[in-house]
Amino acid sequence: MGEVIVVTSGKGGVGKTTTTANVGTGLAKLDKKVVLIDTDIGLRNLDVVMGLENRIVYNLVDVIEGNCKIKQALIKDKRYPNLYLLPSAQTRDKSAVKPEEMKQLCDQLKGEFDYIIIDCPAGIEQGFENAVAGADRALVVTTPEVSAVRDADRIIGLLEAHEMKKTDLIVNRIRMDMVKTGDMMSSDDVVEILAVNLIGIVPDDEGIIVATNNGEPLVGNESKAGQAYMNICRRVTGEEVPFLDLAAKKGFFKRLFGKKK
Amino acid sequence: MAFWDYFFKKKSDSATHAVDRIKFVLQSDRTGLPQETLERIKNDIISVLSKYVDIETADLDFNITKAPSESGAMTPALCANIPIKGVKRNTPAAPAKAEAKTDTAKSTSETQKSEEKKDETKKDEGEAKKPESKPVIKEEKTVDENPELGSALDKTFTFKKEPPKEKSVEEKKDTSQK
Repeated sequence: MGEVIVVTSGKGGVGKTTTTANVGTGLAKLDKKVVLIDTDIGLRNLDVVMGLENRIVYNLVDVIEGNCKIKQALIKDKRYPNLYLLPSAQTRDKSAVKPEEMKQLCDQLKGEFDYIIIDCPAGIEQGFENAVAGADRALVVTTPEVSAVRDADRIIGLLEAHEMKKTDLIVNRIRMDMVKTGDMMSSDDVVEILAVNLIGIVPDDEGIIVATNNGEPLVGNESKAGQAYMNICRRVTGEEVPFLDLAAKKGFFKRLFGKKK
Repeated sequence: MAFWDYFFKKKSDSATHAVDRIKFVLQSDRTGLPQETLERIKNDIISVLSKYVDIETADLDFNITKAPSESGAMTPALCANIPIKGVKRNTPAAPAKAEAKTDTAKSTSETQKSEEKKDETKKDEGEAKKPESKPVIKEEKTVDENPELGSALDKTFTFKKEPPKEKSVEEKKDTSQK
């Protein structure tokens, strides 16, 4: 029986879709059978981040409305043996799907997959309700900024109201150089404020932009962000993984003459 | 630039500022209470405590955070850390009790008294608010109730040293008779 995980944040642009793509791909690399569902109807993005945009035939709304079988709408990612994507509809709006329908869909998929990862749209309206309806646990993504943390707190409150069984926090785009100089909240600060279990810290990494350009999630590669995402995947499966040392020092000369990031 | 940055790195505190601001905002977000109400709750608590003990207003920490309830769910909880400098000798505890027992009218004057004191405390912190300073002006009758402020606010204490001391002695006698 699979587990349904919703990736949510409240605020837009903090890295929900990137996180969904990387966690999903990472779990597939760990030999789990995974399906990613993009529930951001009208603003479809997970397909391009995954590099699967050219292969879409049917979408989530088609499945819900019975225009196709679930199987037909799932796009198989050929790079990994057990990774599938159910894309969102680009030309419809959020009211095309109801929470109850999403719940039914998730229950169906649970029989076939180990993990069903749902990319939640920004906001707390219908799209959020749809995304969390069938979820067993949530990954809340935030960045160390006041606006994102505030929205994350609101989302955590709403997840509690939905009686979400498990809620974990991912602090995304942290810059250790700024944390060190006192210009960015640390992950400890964020965890203290939000009082929720931390499952991962992802450093700000240019590699993420390159990976998105190429439609190839960077999870599992040698970069700090790639390692951080892989560690999150392992923690999702229940493994105990120590947190990365993101503050590893740059060399003296690099700091002295390197350009300021 | 990078060269000088390396040797003259200034430690900034914008992150601390961010943490303080977000904590402040989340207090009212979580409780649904307006910020002003929370501020008043804080000041009322301070004024009640300062009746009995000298508190360090500069270092006090007053937050509404989330804490696990008995059922395990996270619920908003008030967490206050108020450093106590010392215990007051002339605690007004006895008079307060006596008044409350004898007369309800007097007990209202007691609350007014605390209001005024709250205002005094605020001034002490240098952050007096306009709306709260208003009612104090009306309460002329509570002027002689200042002894509690004595040791916390030196100015007031030296100013009205004589009469309050006598009064507190009287009140103590009252309770001892009871």
